[in-house]
Amino acid sequence: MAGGYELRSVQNERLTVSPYLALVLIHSIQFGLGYLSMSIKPVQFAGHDAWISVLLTGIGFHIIIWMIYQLLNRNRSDIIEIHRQFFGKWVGGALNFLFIVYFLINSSYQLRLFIEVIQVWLFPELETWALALVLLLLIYYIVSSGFRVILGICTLSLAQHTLIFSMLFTAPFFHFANLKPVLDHSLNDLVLAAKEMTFPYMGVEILLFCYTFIKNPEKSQKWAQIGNAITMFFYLLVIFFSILLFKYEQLAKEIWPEFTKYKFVHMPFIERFDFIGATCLIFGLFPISCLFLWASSRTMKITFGTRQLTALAIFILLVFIVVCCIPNRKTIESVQMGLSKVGLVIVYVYIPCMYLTDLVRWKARRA
Amino acid sequence: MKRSFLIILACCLLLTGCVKQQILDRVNLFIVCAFDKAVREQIEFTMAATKYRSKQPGAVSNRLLSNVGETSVGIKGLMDLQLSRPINTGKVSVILFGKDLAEKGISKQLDVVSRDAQASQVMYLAIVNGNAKELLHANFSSDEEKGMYLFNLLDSNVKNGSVPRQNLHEFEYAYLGKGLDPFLPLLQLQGEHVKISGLALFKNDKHVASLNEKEMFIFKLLYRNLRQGTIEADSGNGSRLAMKIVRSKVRYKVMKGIQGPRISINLSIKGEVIDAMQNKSPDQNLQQIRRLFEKDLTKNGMNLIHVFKTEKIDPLGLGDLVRSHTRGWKEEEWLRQYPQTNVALDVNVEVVETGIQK
Repeated sequence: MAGGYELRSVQNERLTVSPYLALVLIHSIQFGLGYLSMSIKPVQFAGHDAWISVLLTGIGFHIIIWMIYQLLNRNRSDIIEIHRQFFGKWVGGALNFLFIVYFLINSSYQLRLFIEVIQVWLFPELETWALALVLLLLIYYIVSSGFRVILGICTLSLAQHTLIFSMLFTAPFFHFANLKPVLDHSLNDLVLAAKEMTFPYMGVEILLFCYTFIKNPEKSQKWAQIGNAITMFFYLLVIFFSILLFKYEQLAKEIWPEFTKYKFVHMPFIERFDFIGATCLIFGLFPISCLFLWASSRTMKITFGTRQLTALAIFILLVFIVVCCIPNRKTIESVQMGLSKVGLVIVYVYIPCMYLTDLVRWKARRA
Repeated sequence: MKRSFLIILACCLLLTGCVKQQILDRVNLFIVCAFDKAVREQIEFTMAATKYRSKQPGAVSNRLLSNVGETSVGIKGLMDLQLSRPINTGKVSVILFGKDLAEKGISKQLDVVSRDAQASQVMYLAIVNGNAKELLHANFSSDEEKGMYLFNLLDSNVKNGSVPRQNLHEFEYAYLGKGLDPFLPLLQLQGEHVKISGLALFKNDKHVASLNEKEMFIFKLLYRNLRQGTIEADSGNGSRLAMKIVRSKVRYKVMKGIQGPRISINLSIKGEVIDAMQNKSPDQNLQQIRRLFEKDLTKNGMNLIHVFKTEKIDPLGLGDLVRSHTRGWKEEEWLRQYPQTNVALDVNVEVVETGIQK
């Protein structure tokens, strides 16, 4: 254990990415499919003030990213090693294993959500397993090519933001009076709404795992923070869009309010714009699923010594089984509830605790 | 390994052809449909399926199908039995409701429509003064498909005419939202022609009152800013004056009163007088004309607001307006206050031009 903190801190340079790509990494893993239904729950608590909660959570995540970087910079290693250093082989290994489970369930959830959207909006008769099989084969192909390729896919996924212009079709129906009166809700409501907003911002925990794959990782903090700020900007757009376009009571009835915007698009040469919108959601799915599966297979390799590709193949099979076992909207919702609770624990309990533990260790060692 | 992987990927690509196809020529698209009240809680659903005749370009006609049943989905199943191709709802642009059904409430029918992933959010809804099925059966458009004809009729009158815009999304917004009530255009069959005869006002999802054409336009003036339309007023000596609106702006203000809020509406209109110049001294006359219009609009506008208050309906969304100015707004409290709320209307007319002659 002595001098453990210079362990495998540097990867082979061929495998690393430039620091500025932390922006793409953070933004694309946060901005998944969740934004389609993100606005419903915060609006139930904070009504038209929900945008304040989006800001609050966003700022909270800036602090979380700062904590992650403090923790990792001091140890010059990724969380897999830090777990072992802090808690020993067994407890550390168990923690790593818990992360693997969380990542697998999360990527299954994202995959199932995508398939659900396709089933509801485009092809109701499509079987879940068929689409899951095709997508997972592609994901295996991407992940097996390594971290740099995954980040390439993440960069490509930024193309989905061009669809933001379809919001212009809904602009004639905006009601700006819906934003007033500002701050009509108590702080308690805002905090409850901010709690609901945590799940869409989740994903920053991936930094703990791919820290060593960033060249000069200390320099990448700025970019990671910018990535989070960009996510915050897009989430603000989404929430403003929902508040301006819908009445609170209408939102309570919708499942994917953000997706409904495609139902306003009326163009002479294309009648059903939602086909394009639904297909582009794949850009939201791939970064998340690929990064999570990559992180879990890598954790498996380091903690338990399995070959990464073998672990990946097993995990893909597991995800496939889990996806097929989620039959309907109700189950998807309950999986989401569970995941968002886990997310809350990771963000507001686990990461601050790790940060404090590390701080104490650091101080003790210096004294 | 790599080769087998490529084969699997190629298979995935080729198997996409196995998804159920919907080729435009092989489905029955319909643009307009109608709901009517039938006996005993049942509804009658009428669909105008499009019929294309080959070798005659532009010759599109309709085949009308009607069925009575409990739910619209069940009726659609019955209709499939009468049609050679499956029905697809992706192109519905206008939905008509018979007056009897509208008086009973249309939320059940609308729920089905807004649940449909294929239905457009910007389709038009309209109430038929009478029976919607009869209207669809009338031969009002000889060379155009009936659905397209009705859609264009509503669309052009919303964009350039006196009909305030209310599509499926806005109807739902006003119906579900607190502090405002929906309204829909009212269609009427006159001989062989369809005309928009006014506005049907709703309380929740039930049709309770109607406005005629003139009231509808005044309502539109109070509802949104406009850039088109004409208004008429009495000149006092028996003749009528007409003015073309160049631009109208409506501003709402909410002030705190002793009991409940006070609302003041400020309507300023810039117009072009096109039919009033009998007098030789235009300058003095213009002032007079201005006054006449202001007086006329104020009177009619206040009448409208009075009607809304006595019927306890709120198509202008005054409740929503007050909500946006009040912290901790409660709907029940507002509904109690509403009939006594002090609403003031101030109309300001400015004659900017008098056509191409003095």
